[in-house]
Amino acid sequence: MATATEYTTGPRQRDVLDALWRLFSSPYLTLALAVAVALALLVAAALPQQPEAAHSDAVLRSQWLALVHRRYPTTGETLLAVGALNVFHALWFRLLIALLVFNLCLGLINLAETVWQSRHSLAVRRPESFFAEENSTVSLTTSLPWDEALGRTRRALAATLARPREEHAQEVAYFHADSGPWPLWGALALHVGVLLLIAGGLVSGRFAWQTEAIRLGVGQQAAVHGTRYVLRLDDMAVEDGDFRAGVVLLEGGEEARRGVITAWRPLRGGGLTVRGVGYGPAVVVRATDNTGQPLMLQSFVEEAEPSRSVYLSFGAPGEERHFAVLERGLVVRLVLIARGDADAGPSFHVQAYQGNSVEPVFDGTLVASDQVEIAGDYYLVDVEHYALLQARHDPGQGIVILGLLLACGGMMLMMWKPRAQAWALVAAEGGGVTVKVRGAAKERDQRFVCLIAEVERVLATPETKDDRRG
Amino acid sequence: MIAVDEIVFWGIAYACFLVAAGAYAVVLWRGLDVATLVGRLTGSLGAVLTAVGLAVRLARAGRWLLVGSGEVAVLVVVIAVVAFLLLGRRSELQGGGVGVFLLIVLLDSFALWSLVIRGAGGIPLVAGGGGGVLATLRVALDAVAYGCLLVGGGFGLVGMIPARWPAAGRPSADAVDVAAWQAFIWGASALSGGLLIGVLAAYLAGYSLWSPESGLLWSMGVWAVCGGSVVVERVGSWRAALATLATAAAFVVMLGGGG
Repeated sequence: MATATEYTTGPRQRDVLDALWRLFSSPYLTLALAVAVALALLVAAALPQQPEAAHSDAVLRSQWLALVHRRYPTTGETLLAVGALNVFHALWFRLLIALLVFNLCLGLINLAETVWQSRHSLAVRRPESFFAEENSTVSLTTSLPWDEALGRTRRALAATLARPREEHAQEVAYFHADSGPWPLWGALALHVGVLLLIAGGLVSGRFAWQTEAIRLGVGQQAAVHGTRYVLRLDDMAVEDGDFRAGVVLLEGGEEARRGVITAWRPLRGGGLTVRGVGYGPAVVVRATDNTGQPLMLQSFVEEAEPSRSVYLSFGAPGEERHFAVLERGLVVRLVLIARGDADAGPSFHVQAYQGNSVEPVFDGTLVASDQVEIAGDYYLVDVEHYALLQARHDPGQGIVILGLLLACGGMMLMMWKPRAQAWALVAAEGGGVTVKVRGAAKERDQRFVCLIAEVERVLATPETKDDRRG
Repeated sequence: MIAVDEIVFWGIAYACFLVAAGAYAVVLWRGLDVATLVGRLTGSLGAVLTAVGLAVRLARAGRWLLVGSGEVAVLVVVIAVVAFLLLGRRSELQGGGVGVFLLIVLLDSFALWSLVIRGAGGIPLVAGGGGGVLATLRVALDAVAYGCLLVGGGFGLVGMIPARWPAAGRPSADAVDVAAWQAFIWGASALSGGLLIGVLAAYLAGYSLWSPESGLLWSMGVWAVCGGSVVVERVGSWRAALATLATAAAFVVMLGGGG
């Protein structure tokens, strides 16, 4: 049996608009566009993509371009020109998505029409020629009385398929049954789900944002750019290469949310998702003279002011930080030697220079929190960790998740509950009754085979003649 | 510390898969039962040795979660063999084994190149948020998905062989279609499950679903082709073997890009 055209076309001639409609609603176009989107996702996943912030920040944009040219000295310009390094914002990708949306919308309309027709305007009564299709029609003749044959055919259809309907005309009865609403609902869900997925992606692309990584030491706080929220790190612990950061989200100075952030657990609140993206070693330095009086220190970070302590954070080994001891004309240099692991903490190389001398007055190594004596003063160095936090706002995420759920569910229904339908004709002819059954399903669909077997079984009398065609 | 090297196991397994592919080619050409037996035995032995090699590698590394597309590809190879033995157990389908084992050899070549020759794990196909149970479940589901799609794709390849070519053991078009569709729906279902678990894990970990670090773009790519194939197969008039082949091809392209 073959998948048959289920509805007769209207009386009017097909015009160019019909052809365009068929072209743009074609499932083959859906597949072609899905393949193109898949390739675009492959490119987006395999090649580094331009950071979101670089779209609005000229400095970041120039840094990004420099990185591209360093990484792809020969192909960088071409990759940039074709949008391979900024796939989700490239014109060709947007056109692709627009075409896919158009195709899915037309497919959705076709499906909605099919759903409507299947319940309201399905032609149960079919002409004799409809049952002349040899490959998908089976014809049986029985000596049972017409009423009996009618009842048994009805039962066979109801036992194999769902939603049986019938119409009568003189000595002929017409039947239709199908596999129920689920296959069509599955197709609808798949289309709606993918459209929601795309809509969620568009909402994310338009309204989602995320901050750069915010480096916070214990006790420090930082405003989340563009919001009324402030992040504060209350405590920080590093164990077995993982970290636990106690974070408070403040709104107008009041605590709005408190929680522990790990590599796999963010903090959510106020429409924000705060994620831990890493951690690193830091030192807090306090200094006193030999009488115990505190010394004023100043780090060289921007807008730093003299203070009784300085906070210096480090990234990769080899990074160095400096601070000055104002009363002593002393500059202290710390270089991170190792970030440390589960067994040992971070280690630093410490040097101190006085005045314009190039010879250090102190040169040593620091492997843990300790007190160091430099030029008669005492420097208490606390080694701790800072947390790298990133705040994100993404109003499209929920839509994407809902879309994926619908699309996956719809696809499952389409696969596991394939559509099948059958028409039957029961007619009194001469002294007997002829039953013709025509199915419309995929070649491998066993339900039509079962239906025929069931019809044969219920009509079985010694005189039943099987006139199977095809 | 385990002194045994996984490369020995994988090397012998690779040879087994080559022999199995050859044996199934003989089955397709001549329809010999003895070749079927050789194919089944060498294929099964290859799968066992591949699994043992993977276990040895993980034990040496002191972890049980797969890392990178290379290790996932090794698991997919094992699952593909098991799926073929289950889905293609009917004698009339044995000729389809040549397509399946050709794809298995192709995938195993990628895995060995990635893990042994290049000495790297490749891009983490199933990385992303979650860790622990969710990540393990996702790896398992993705491996089942790709294994089944590979088997369906193998049947699809055999279904593409022109009818005029001499092949005494050629499975019928309908048999190939049924087997390919069975493999496809199991694979697509596992892929959907893996994708949803990946989305859940990424959400729980606070990742953006669209960022490469969530590891979802790979699965979404294959899933997109899978969904398109279902629509074409259901709404259009494509045979299942074609739909499965398209999705298996998408998987191979994705893997190639990731490696």
